[in-house]
Amino acid sequence: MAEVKLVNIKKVYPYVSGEEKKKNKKKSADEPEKKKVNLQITDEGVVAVQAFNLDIKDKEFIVLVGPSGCGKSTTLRMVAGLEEISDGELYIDGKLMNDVAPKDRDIAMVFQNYALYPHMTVYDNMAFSLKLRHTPKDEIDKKVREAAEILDITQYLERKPKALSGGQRQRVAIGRAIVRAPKVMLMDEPLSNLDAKLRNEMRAEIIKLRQRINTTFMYVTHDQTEAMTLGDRIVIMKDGYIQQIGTPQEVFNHPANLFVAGFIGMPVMNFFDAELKREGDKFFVEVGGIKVELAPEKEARLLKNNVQSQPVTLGVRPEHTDVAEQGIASTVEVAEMMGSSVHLHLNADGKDVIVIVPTIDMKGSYKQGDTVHFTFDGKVAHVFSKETDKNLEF
Amino acid sequence: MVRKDTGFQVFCHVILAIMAVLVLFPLALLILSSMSSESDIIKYGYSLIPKNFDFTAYKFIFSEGSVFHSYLVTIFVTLVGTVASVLVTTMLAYTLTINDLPGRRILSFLVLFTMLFSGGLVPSYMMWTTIFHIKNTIWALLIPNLLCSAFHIMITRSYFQNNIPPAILESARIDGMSEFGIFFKIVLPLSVPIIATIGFMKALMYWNDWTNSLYYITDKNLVGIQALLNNMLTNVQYLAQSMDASSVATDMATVPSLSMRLAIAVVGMLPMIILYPFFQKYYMKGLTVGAVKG
Ligand SMILES: Nc1ncnc2c1ncn2[C@@H]1O[C@H](COP(=O)(O)OP(=O)(O)O)[C@@H](O)[C@H]1O
Ligand SMILES: [Mg+2]
Repeated sequence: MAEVKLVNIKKVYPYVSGEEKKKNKKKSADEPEKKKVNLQITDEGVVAVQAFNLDIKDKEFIVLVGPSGCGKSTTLRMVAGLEEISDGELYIDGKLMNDVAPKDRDIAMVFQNYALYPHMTVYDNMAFSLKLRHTPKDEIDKKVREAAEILDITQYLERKPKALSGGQRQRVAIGRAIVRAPKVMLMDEPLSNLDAKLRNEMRAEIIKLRQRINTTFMYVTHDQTEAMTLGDRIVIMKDGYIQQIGTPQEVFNHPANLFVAGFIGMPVMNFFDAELKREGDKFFVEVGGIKVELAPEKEARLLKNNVQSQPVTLGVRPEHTDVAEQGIASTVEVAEMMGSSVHLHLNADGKDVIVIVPTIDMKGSYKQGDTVHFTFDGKVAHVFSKETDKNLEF
Repeated sequence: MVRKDTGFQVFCHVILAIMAVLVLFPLALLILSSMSSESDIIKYGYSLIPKNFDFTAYKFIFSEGSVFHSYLVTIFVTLVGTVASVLVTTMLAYTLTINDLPGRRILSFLVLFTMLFSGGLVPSYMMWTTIFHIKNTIWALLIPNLLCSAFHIMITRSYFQNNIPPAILESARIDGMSEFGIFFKIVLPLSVPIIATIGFMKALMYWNDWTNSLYYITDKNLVGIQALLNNMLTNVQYLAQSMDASSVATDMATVPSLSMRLAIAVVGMLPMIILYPFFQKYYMKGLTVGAVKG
């Protein structure tokens, strides 16, 4: 139950001597054709996080999401106090926390690999932090049993972690975190070690848990579905920088840049090379021989930014792309029947495009090699600058 | 490994069996011969099957009243020394696992350095006697042995690194445990195999140590069992030699010099042999898990 404020947070992992060259080499081997300079590797060390500004409201559920290595864990660990903050300020409930020890920050953390104490029973694992804080015995007992009840692990209290399944262990880890009623609950990929089915179950559990315990959450994941389903707001990160902060709806409907557009949403957004045409106060995109006028609210924003005609990257989500009589011509490569819809993998002039067609709207079926035309609405077309990859509406 | 190569397994077992026999045979010979009578040994040589069981050698050893006292000294030194050196080793090893510890590289360097180089006997002797004045104190049997175990530090460190997930320690830190608490309540309980392993090695070292007693102890009350047995051995040899020289059958003839040498060796190692099975389980585990990542 606390506000958390991160002001211009930065984290640099200094090089241990000899490491510098190795890292450089490794990175270039990973990305051979892209000759992009890795911004994270500098003279002072690996800059894992920088220019991180975020105001987390009381009881808000914030999800940090991004590809592996983008600095999510580092950010969380700085909030926990496990990692020193190189620059910037961290406030919890208005108090500067930069130099406060983890135990005095009133936070709790759940780790990906559970990190239970293997030599203690489930009960003792959960009671541990309370014992250290000299909580009276009967109160400890009450709190542990309450948490165990919430997480449905009461019958395992006397067991050692070894005798539990992965899902049960993660419940214990969450239980250990909630007994203390921390101001901020930190979770670093808590579901990543579970199999897909269990992960879905636990995701629902976390949503329920969130309703029962009233506290601020910071949750790290690389999985955009988890981020979308859990977060009040999502922080999308890449290469140590925040790319966008917003509600799941906002980041889905208004991605700030090409990266966010590609990262959020499954299947991935379709991208086209297109021309943005400004005609007076109206904006059109021209692509594959069709010309679509953008929706009025989009036009208004482009107008406000004084955007001119230019080549753009056009982004349209598969669920917003429709098969039509007239439109961009393409051939069917694969048609995946998903039940309520069909995912058409199309080839439009050498470009892979996915179109989701609701089964109800389908006339007949699609076979490989069929010619299909598709189009999209001006409300759902996103135009990104070719130079900066930024959404021109922003 | 799905398909077992039986030929290879048989081969391995045969080799191992031969090696085991090569190790066990002298041991059995030692123990059994020590229980033979002196005259049998002279007549028939050392034998696996004693003609007549005879414990004169042991009687002789234990008739020396100070044997029990020396046993106690050694037991005390072994217990205290083992606990202390296990503590020192694990603490240092744990420290070496902390990556952002200032001066960690220097520390590792120093540890490794002592593994390869030492000042040798005379300078150490001078240091211990003139600066620390440990001569004729129980410290002489405890302290010098505390320090020389870089190998133990290294295997302990690698055990910590490979078997204790950092997240557990971080959890404990968040839960509110002090660094000492983390070491004693989390790290040590999770390290029983390696503690048993190095503990046993240390115990063996303390138990078998007779040189420190030789260098620093003249007080009879502080002589450990190995040093005492060593003295006896020398004396037996001396007696035996003088007997040969005079070739006079005196009451010295009753000193069973041959079997006594064997009995001395048995008395010196028996307690450790008895203890070994209790440590063996962990000993094996500690050596393997310490070495292999995973
Ligand atoms: N202890 C460390 N020392 C040096 N570099 C590190 C360390 N931990 C993380 N990094 C680097 O910092 C960057 C961000 O790491 P991390 O926060 O773990 O990413 P994420 O959790 O998003 O996958 C990566 O480039 C990683 O290599
Ligand atoms: Mg991570």
